[in-house]
Amino acid sequence: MKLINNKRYTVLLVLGLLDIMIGLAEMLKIIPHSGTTTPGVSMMGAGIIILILGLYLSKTPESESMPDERTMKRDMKVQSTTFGIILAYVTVLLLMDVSWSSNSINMGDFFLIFSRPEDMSVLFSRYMSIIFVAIISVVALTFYYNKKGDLE
Amino acid sequence: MKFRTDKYILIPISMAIGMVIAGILLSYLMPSFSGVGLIIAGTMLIVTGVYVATKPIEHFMPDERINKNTDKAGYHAFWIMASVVIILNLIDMFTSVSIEYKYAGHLIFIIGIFSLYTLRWYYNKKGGL
Repeated sequence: MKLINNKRYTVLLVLGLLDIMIGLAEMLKIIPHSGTTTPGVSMMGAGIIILILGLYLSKTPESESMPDERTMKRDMKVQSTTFGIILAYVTVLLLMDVSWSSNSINMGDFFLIFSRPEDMSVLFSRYMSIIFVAIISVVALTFYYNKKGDLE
Repeated sequence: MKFRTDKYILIPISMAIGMVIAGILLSYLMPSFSGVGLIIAGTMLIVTGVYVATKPIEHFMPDERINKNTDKAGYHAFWIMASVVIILNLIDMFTSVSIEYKYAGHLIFIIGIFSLYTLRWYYNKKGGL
């Protein structure tokens, strides 16, 4: 049985392995200042998910995995719209930082429900929130444009 | 010279005038807040609005090619901006260097805007999408 049918997705395999190695190095405290923010388990978990995804996609034949024209048009529209959303979000965050100078979003009592609020502030840092908004926008807009159809 | 007075002109120009007034008021009321940015941005928007009002609306209707170019440029600009945010996040999380958002935010914004316009110019020049 051939392990890789489709070379397009080998980059995912490499990325997954790299993630797992970084996670391991983080856990074993090889990287300087490691373990201060994330335990490395999250990195390893992400690496394993990417590895499984890469293995699955690389086993599918090229003809099946190639996106058709409609999918490509939809993706372009979705991601260019997400670009606008992110740009607006970055601007709003910047204005917030000018008004209240802090590095994490002030969510008030929300952090009190966690036993270690200082760890959660890393998860809700400005950069993480931008990535989070981007992912949510891409998923929601893909769903919307799929449902809407007629991409012009 | 004929000026258009439809809602596409009046709403942005009134918003721009509001920005200028808000800039002047905020400068007076809050000494720590600099309203110069608002005043300059409002003035630029008024000048742009007056220029746009002199042209017919058909002049600004994007055709299919321009729409495609903008979508393609926005698609690539999104990935460039996402990469910058991810790299900054990794540096912030995994190294001892703490990058404050109020400095990095400007960088992300400028990279996003410049990549969009540069890529749009490039795809317009390249053609054959």
